Amino acid sequence: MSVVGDICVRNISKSFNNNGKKIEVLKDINFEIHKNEFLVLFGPGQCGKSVLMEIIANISEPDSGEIMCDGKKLREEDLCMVFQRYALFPWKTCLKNVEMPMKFKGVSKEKREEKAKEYLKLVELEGFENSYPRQISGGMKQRVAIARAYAKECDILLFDEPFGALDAQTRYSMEKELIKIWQSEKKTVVFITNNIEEAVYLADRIIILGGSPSSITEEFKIEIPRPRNRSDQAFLAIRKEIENRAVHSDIVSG
Amino acid sequence: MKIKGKKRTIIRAVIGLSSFFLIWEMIVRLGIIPRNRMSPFTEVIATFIRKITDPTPDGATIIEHFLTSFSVAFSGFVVAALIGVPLGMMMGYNRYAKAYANTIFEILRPIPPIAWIPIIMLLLGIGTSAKIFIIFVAAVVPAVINSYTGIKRVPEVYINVGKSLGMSHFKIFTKICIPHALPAVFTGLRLSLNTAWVALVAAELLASTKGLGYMIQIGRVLAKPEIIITGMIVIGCSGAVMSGLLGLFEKRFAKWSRK
Repeated sequence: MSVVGDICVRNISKSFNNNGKKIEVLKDINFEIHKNEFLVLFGPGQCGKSVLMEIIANISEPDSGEIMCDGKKLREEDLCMVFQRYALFPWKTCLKNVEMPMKFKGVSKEKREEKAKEYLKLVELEGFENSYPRQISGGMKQRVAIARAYAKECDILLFDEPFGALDAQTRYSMEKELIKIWQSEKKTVVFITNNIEEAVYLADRIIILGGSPSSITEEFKIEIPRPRNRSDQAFLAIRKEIENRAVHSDIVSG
Repeated sequence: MKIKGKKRTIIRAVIGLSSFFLIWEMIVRLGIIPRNRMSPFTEVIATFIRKITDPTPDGATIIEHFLTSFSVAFSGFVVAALIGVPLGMMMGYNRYAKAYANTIFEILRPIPPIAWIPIIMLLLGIGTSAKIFIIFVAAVVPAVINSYTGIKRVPEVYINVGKSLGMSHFKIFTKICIPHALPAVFTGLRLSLNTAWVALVAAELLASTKGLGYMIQIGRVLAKPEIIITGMIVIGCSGAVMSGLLGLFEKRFAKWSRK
């Protein structure tokens, strides 16, 4: 397995064609993703966060710019993505869903079954190996999706608003779980959200996208020790600051 | 409660059915419809039992008629499935395949299968291959359309998951798109089977020497309504049985779609 270092996002621009009208979504995005950091991309809905994520994930092509890693183009096998709506394959059991990425790497049947069970254990879903996705709750589905992403055993994980569809309580426990999983097996994480509280709870660093077309408006380092408490003074202070600056910059640019 | 309710439903079905048969029997026995135009229910049953072993007056037993019809319909259906399902799937997955095939398909699609019969008879005569071809033409349409929509309806996010998991285009097609499309494909096959059966009877009515369609046609020529109705009942029941068998297959291969 290759070990990748820092990632450079260089001059990314992207526009779409809407009935002959060109709509610029991303303009000249530049930032770095450090190795093993938990980076949160924060921005309002429709600001192009997901588009940026898809470009990083190599699912769509930028108009200009590139994603570099150790001086080379970032490769697909170095990363894995967790999607908004779980996207588990409904015709496969939880275990088979988690096995999938290993199957395509050519891992033997026994080995990948063993590994998949381990990853399901990591997300605390022992005993649900043979359940189908329709038989489990939304939070559990998303945990299976996280286990599946981990099972690819790549260095970079991308999360596209993974908890957006969950209720607040499930969401809190999922955020806690995610940090626990990430701390027990460190990876570079890029996480998209439009929820400030979630951003402050999870991130080592927050990058704020805003404006039209979107560009990076602010950057925050969050140095509160983990596990974080949402009603902590320091937590609330940072949250408020981000809220002020993000909202402010939105007014200025848009 | 539940068992009682089920029992009641069965009882009501039996009452409904027997009153239907009773009214039918009465109408003919009382001479409201003359005997040479309509046979009473009991006579149809007697004819059915007799025809299991007796080839008169139409030249074959009902089992021979059924097997002839079934083998032709089934061959046409299988050919339609083997060509229609992959074709529809390719049209759904690859826009070039769609561009090549779609226009011609859209032009041919609205032509009723029966309208193909004259040209097929000119080309292939009235033999078995002609009938198989007619059935193929009829059955291929729903197979293509449903396989096409089945693939088209695969949510983009699944394809993105595939890409994100490092799957090749081919793997995405075989491991994500095809399983996801299977329930729709089965819906298509079920419609294909129905159309195949309908087209078969139409083809046999026009030109054949054996088969259920031929049997009811001879019944008309000889003015024997009991033969016609026996044939019709066998046609109806076999269609229902085949549809049911396909349903079992569907349960086996596409069970995830059931809630």
